[in-house]
Amino acid sequence: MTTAPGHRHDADEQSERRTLARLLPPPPHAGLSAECRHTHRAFLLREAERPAPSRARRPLLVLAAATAVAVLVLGVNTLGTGTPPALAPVPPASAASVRLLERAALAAHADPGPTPRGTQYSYVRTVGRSTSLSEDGGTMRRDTVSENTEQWTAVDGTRPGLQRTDRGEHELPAPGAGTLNSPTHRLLAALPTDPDALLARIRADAELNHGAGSGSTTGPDQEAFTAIGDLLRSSVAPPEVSAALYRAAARIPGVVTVDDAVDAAGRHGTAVARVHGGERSEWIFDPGTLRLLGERTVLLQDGPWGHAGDEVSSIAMVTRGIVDAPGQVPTAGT
Amino acid sequence: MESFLPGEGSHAEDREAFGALFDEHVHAVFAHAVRTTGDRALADDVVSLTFLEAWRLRDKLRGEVLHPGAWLLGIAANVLRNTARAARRHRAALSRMPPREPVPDFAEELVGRMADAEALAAAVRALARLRRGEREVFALVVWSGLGYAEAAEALGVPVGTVRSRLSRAREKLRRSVAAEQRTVRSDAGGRAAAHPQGRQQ
Repeated sequence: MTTAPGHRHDADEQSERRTLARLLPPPPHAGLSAECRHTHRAFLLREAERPAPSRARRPLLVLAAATAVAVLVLGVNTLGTGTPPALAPVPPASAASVRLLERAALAAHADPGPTPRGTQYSYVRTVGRSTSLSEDGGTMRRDTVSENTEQWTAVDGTRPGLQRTDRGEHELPAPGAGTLNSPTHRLLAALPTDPDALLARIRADAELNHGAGSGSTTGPDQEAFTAIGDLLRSSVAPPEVSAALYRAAARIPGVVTVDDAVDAAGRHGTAVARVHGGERSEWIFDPGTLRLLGERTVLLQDGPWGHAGDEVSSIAMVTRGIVDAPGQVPTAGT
Repeated sequence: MESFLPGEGSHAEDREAFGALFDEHVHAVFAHAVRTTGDRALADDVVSLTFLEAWRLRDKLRGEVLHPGAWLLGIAANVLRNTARAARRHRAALSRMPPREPVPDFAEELVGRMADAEALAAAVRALARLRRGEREVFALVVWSGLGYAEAAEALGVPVGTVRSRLSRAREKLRRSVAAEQRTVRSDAGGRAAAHPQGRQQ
């Protein structure tokens, strides 16, 4: 697309583009080597040859038991989304999960947390692992990949951040105002604390992030659940916003509880969860303090990724807080 | 504009068309990713994820998509906004991806590459002063050569938004260029001007 046809652009467009290119010209880069290109191409064509996984059947089986309730909420569930409705109607969040999330919200409220200055950094450290699958001489081999991460993000988003993983350390570009996908503390602090308004905002953002109608098969409910999980796990939010996030999750259909779950740091807890595509994503809470410990995804049936009950990913929150500079860690525990 | 894929294409025809789509646009997708992130390894992943997404969404190429190149860059922008989520969606495929070849380092090439890398890092820093929406529009229109209408289609925003983001980007870049020139003049010793916040404590 470097040679976009010129006739479609009017003169203003051309002159604006020239002005902008003078201010910040396209930086040189070495391009993709022919070898890399061939590797990519062969890989993608092999992927295109694979039969598409049939996703329609498994979730229907999983949800079959819930059909009776589901019919009642059909109208609610298909409203207000640009993406096609999820595969089957899903019952509202279970009473037990609503109670658990409300207790988590109250616990979040009770924990005042720091009030950061704009010049400081949010710090989050998570540990965990996820499963990868590779073909090894005709047989499938499962490996475990480390998800250990430390990340620093400027509270006001004006300065670059830092990420440290097992593979090393690299600078992250300044997030600016941030987005729900890569939030700054400032952005989080400006979110609505009314759970309905917050959920509407998160849903709208999920639509937006899928771009011009990406035909997502995930569905808006799972998107919202995942987005809230990501926010809770990977950022430092003001208490009233954390509380609103829990209450917003309680409004997502299909949310249930799991009595005993164990996080990547080996801590047992009680979880709220959502089933999608043959997997159950769980948010694990400390049963006493109702503080979020971590998140994991468990297989519900045997398949290439493992057996029913296996974890495909598990990430525990170890430390989070506010520090003065990238590279520093909070002095006291979270 | 004719639709990119035949009406009821067989799987084999679709694959062939997909290969052609890749050949035509892979450089543009990689260039967009590397210029906006400054990270070649990440840009490499973005290329894979973008084309995996394109294959998943290929039905759109049968009519809905006017400019396949712009459409692909729009997908790349989405992938860049949330690489982790895209990677989760294609987790199985990514695990089948062959390992990257190490880059051979012929001395001469390396010197050129280091200068390039510096210029690239400086451009990424300058770009980072813009808001995300402005960055995306700027990179697509100014660096990748999309028309306003194409950029609007790629990002799913109105053309007016493209225009206003570009003019905000222009004002911000003007101010920072002016500020940098002042710094250079008043600081003849040449302390590295726009170096991001030091990491030492």
